[in-house]
Amino acid sequence: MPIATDVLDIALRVEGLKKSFGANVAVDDVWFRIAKGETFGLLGPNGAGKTTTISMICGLIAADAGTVDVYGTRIAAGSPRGRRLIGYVPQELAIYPDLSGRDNLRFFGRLYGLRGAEAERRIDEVLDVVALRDRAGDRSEEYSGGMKRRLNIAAGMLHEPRLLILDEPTVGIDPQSRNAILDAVAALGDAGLSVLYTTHYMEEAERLCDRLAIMDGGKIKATGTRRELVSMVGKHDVVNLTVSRAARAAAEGLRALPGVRSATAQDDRTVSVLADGAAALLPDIIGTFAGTPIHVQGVEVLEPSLDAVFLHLTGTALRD
Amino acid sequence: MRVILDILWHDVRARMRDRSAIIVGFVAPVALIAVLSLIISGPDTEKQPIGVVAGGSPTLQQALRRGALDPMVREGVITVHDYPNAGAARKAVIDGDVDAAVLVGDDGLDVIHGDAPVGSAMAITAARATGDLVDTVGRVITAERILGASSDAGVAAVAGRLQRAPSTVALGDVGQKVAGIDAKTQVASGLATFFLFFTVQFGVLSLLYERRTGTLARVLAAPVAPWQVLAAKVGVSFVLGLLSMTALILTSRLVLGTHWGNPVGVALLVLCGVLAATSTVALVAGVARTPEAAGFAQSMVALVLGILGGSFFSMARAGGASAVFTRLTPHHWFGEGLVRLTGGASWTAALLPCLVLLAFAAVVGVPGAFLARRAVRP
Ligand SMILES: Nc1ncnc2c1ncn2[C@@H]1O[C@H](COP(=O)(O)OP(=O)(O)OP(=O)(O)O)[C@@H](O)[C@H]1O
Ligand SMILES: [Mg+2]
Repeated sequence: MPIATDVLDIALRVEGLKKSFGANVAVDDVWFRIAKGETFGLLGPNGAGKTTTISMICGLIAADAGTVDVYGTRIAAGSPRGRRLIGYVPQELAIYPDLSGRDNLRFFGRLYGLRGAEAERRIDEVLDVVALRDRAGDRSEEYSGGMKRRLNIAAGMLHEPRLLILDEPTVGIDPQSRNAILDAVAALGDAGLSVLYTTHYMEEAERLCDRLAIMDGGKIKATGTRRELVSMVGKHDVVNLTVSRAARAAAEGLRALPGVRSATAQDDRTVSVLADGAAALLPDIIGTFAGTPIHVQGVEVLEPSLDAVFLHLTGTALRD
Repeated sequence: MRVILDILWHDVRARMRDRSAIIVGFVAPVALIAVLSLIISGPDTEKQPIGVVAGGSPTLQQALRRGALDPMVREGVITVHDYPNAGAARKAVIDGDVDAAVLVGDDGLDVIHGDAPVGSAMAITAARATGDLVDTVGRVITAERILGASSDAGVAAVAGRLQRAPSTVALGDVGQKVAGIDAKTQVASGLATFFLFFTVQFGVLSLLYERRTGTLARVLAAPVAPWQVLAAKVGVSFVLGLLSMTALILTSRLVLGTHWGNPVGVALLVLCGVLAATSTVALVAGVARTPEAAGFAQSMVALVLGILGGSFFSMARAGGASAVFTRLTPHHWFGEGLVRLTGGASWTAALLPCLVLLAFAAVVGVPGAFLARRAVRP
């Protein structure tokens, strides 16, 4: 992990961000930093406050409190200052369906002052990165979901930003497109671009990110490298049980067991248990259901992972 | 500044591509203008029927027929129907058999003209023109008689003078001079301004659509200030309105032969009128919460202002409160400007209506811009 010594070595500094919508506190005192060249993941379930945090970082909405600095430039809502440093790939597709991929990029390029031959050169480059060169002349409404997502990303990196912010760029697309996107982001990260990446896919975070923050209920629960985060869970193991029925009731029963940190029903038939030393506890866990109509049909003991961390920190699994 | 033009150009092209603005701003009004002008220039209204009551002073009868009516009959502008008495003539006017009737008394003329309903603006124009003309004839004859020149020779001289005067018989001229713009132009300008208020919505209201689709947020993440985005969108409304009005005026002139008066004056009127229309849509965008609500509200604004402003029929004629309300609409002042520009008036004749249109734009547009500024958010 690069250690930031100079203000300009910090790509993004977020301090004390707060935002409420009425009584709903969407972002609650969020602090973090991204070093130059670092890929930083913001991991959290639906409604955690990821998009709201990003909207404040990009100056789209005004924070109730707190500050955002990108390479030392203070970002404020309604002011164009510092925007050129940021490449923003929104969670919702933001492309014009009646324009071709290339014309979309031309328009977004112009917003950043890119025009003429310079623009065409950059457009060709980013089209190559997202592998859309051969479809660039087609209207974007004729693209597949994955191609639209890739165009959305291309628009964000067109003007060569120094901090690229991607808000769940792989939601709802096929594995092939997803891999293409992850490879592209990984390549950008390797090339030294600073990246803020939000997701609720654990695998993506593990694959891409140098450091991570886990966010839930508007708060950052923990920040660190994957290894640092996993070590927080210590000797806790995650045991996934497949039961014949009534997973919720099963979880209820398991919580009473000594040594069980938490037990959560993931769906009708899966219970995730966080336990101190799974090997020793396993007979007790299975024994809990003796004499009940619930049968244990499968047991899986997981390596300490970010999933376990998440369960440990928030009491819920990431994907609910 | 450049980025404003970039967004403006991007949007204008988009509206041209999806044809929405072309249909509302050009195709629909052109079709309606064509249909309505066909109706008003149908065969039975080409010649305006004028009733004449026999009797009264023979000198006056003679002067009226030879001096005023015969030349117009020969030109194919009017037809003359004779009635035995004033009662019969009045009934004919009320029934609509004739557009006007001339009663010849012992020492002067009296003209009755009906208030014809919507659509026969042309007939009213002709009837009024005839009436005024006949009045003039009457006054000349009366004056000459008072001066002692009421001999047959005197009457013949008056009639001869009238016959030689070229301007009295051409309906176009008569219409232009006496009752303002001709019916076709009136229809064209009424419909053009009516549709203008629909056309301008394709600019500013796209703020609300783009907020929904997320592209507005994306644009705002770029180094673009919200006021620049608003300025661009207002500019789109303005440009689309201007294109629509220009295209409609040129098309109706070339294809239907409408008369618009001094080009500089008309251009000023169009600029101010489009500004007034743009101001209404800025206000609507500032108040409405969804694009659908805004579209509906703007349609209501267009409809109410159009009806009050006389896009379809003149409310000023109805008198009372509606005569006051009509003066609050841009439509009325645009039409008023055109009327003032007729008869070869210079462009300065349009200045007062232009000022009123600008005042309307300021009163509606300034609060509109403040409110619409709030719509420029992700
Ligand atoms: N414009 C808004 N008005 C009112 N509430 C909002 C608004 N935007 C977000 N919220 C609320 O703020 C909270 C955080 O939402 P946010 O979109 O930031 O979550 P997220 O982490 O991005 O979730 P997801 O993974 O589903 O995208 C949610 O409770 C949401 O309902
Ligand atoms: Mg989100």
